[in-house]
Amino acid sequence: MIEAVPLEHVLFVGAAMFAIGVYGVLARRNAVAILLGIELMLNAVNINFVAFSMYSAPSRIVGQIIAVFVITVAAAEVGLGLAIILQVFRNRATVNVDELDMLRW
Amino acid sequence: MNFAAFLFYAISALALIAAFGTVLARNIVYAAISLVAALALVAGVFFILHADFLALVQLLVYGGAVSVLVMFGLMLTSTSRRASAPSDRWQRPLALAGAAAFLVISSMAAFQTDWMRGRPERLERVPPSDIAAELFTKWAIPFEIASLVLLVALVGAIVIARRERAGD
Repeated sequence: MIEAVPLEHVLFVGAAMFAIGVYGVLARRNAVAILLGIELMLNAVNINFVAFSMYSAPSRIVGQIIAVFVITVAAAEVGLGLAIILQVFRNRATVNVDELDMLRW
Repeated sequence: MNFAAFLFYAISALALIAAFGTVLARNIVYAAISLVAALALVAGVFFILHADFLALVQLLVYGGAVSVLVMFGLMLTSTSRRASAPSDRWQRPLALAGAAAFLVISSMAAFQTDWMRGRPERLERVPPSDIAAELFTKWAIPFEIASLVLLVALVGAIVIARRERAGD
């Protein structure tokens, strides 16, 4: 058992990692790089879940269980996302999202 | 500042640096490798917050499965020509402004809120057996639904990524 780091500092780490993920999603062109940004955002959310669960929730277990579910859904998301990107690459020979504008007129 | 607090700040700083590397690296393979580093360092943050079970899950799922999956995705979608055209530079300042606005607003919210129970003297470790007991009793149905989600996603990913043969 250790003395606790202030909750605000843990939340700041989560917020900073989420902001970096937002930047990655908005600024990158490569579809796989956008998926990497989404992974960063999901991890930032998990940091917040664990922090709140450990510091202020009535039960210290619930936040960890929800984080496990987030990890599960993130794994499903990355598998499906990469499958879709792979199929797009086979059809269009590019993963640059600026060139994938077939639905725009 | 004691040793664990120092460890927390050091590991979170390294995790944020690795996250910057993920979004800023020009080579997408370097970006994927720094994503793996960032995820492993987040597992370290979980360890310091006394969520040992979650740290191990993080290392297994992200360090093992997701990183291999991303590497395969990169390998199968690699193109020889340069991806970024010079005409898209206007998006970067906008993305930076959006991310910075989010960071400022959410960290102001975090620092100005009065967390009533937010300052425990010390964190206590939760034994994994307690998590298991709660996960398989109170959360059993969501747990089973999550396994169904994984199964459907697995089958769906195979169906989508399968190469269509001429006879199908």
